[in-house]
Amino acid sequence: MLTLTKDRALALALLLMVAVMWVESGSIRPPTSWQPYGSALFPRILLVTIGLLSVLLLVRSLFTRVTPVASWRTEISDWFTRRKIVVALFVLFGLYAALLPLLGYIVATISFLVASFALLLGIDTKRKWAINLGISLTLVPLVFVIFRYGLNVWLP
Amino acid sequence: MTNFFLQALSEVGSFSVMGLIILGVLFGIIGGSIPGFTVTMAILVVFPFTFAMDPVSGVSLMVGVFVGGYSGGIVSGVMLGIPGTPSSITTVYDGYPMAQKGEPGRALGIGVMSSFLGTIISVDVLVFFGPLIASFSLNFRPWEITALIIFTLTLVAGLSNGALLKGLLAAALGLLITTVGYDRNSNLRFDFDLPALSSGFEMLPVMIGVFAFSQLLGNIEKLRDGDGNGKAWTPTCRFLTAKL
Repeated sequence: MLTLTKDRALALALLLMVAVMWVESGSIRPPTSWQPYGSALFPRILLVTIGLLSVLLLVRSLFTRVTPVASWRTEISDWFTRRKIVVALFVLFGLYAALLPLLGYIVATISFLVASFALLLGIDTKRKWAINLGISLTLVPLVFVIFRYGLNVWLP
Repeated sequence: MTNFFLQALSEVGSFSVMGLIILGVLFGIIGGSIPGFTVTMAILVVFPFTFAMDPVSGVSLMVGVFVGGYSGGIVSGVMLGIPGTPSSITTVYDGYPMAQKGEPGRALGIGVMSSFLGTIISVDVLVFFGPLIASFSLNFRPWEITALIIFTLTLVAGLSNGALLKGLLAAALGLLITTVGYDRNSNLRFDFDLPALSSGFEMLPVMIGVFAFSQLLGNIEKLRDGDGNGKAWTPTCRFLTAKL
């Protein structure tokens, strides 16, 4: 059974992206008499190039000797276990982006920072909580004041 | 031309203007060393203060911020592996590994010295060859620009450091990113019906995503993994008190 190495995963992800982008390139306005090549030509040349290079990367990775792993499931589970903090941070980023317009800058950002610091620092001692809340509760209002009154930029 | 130089020197050489230049350079270095805070943003921050100044002082302050900002980008590039400004991207390639090997001072010194020499050389070139280059650049037509772009793409081979295939892929992906949004003929490309994508990708967010974000996530992984001896990372603020 084939092992999913970094190069193979990259090549497959790029090929998937090329397929999606190629389909999307169909919605670009077709060529006209004054623009005979159309706006889709250059992106499609790039997509073909990326596709060919990805295939080359995939083929080359197949000839590279790798240490076999127990199973795909174990490998994926290990990957998530090793990177659970990073994955959780991505989830927090997504939540922050979604909640920012609803809750406003101050509430959303303080919540995001407290949650992120809790994730990164831990919550087992009072000292960590003090660092967490100290940074979150001072940094956010400070940035708000700089943007709102110093730079005249309105934050949500 | 010598008269103009002497006149400019006497204007800039005054105590107040020199003070403003030093202040501008310091602010620029601080601004440039913050990843994502561009030199343009640093100039915009000091711009309102120039309204109350005479033209020489205002321009001197902004030139100070401009020069300091580009030099400041070296700091985060060398220390964190995150270029503070787009111009310091290549500094990361050599400076960050040097900092990791315990030579951050040397890396910063070389960077600052190179930045200084580069500035002096570019000022000389601008002064002596500026009018000549300006008239020559007006002759640039699409094929010359295409040749220039092809030349920049050949640099990929030099910068790929042994991984040419991935270097070419990265270059092609970079070019593909620039096609998102409206093109020159006002045709929309790859917007996926999302209004936010219609204006394409700005250089700054892409740079933060590619360099800063990936570096930060990599650091988080390393910190959580510990030092490889089963010793996990625990936060300390000791460095702050030690420095203060």
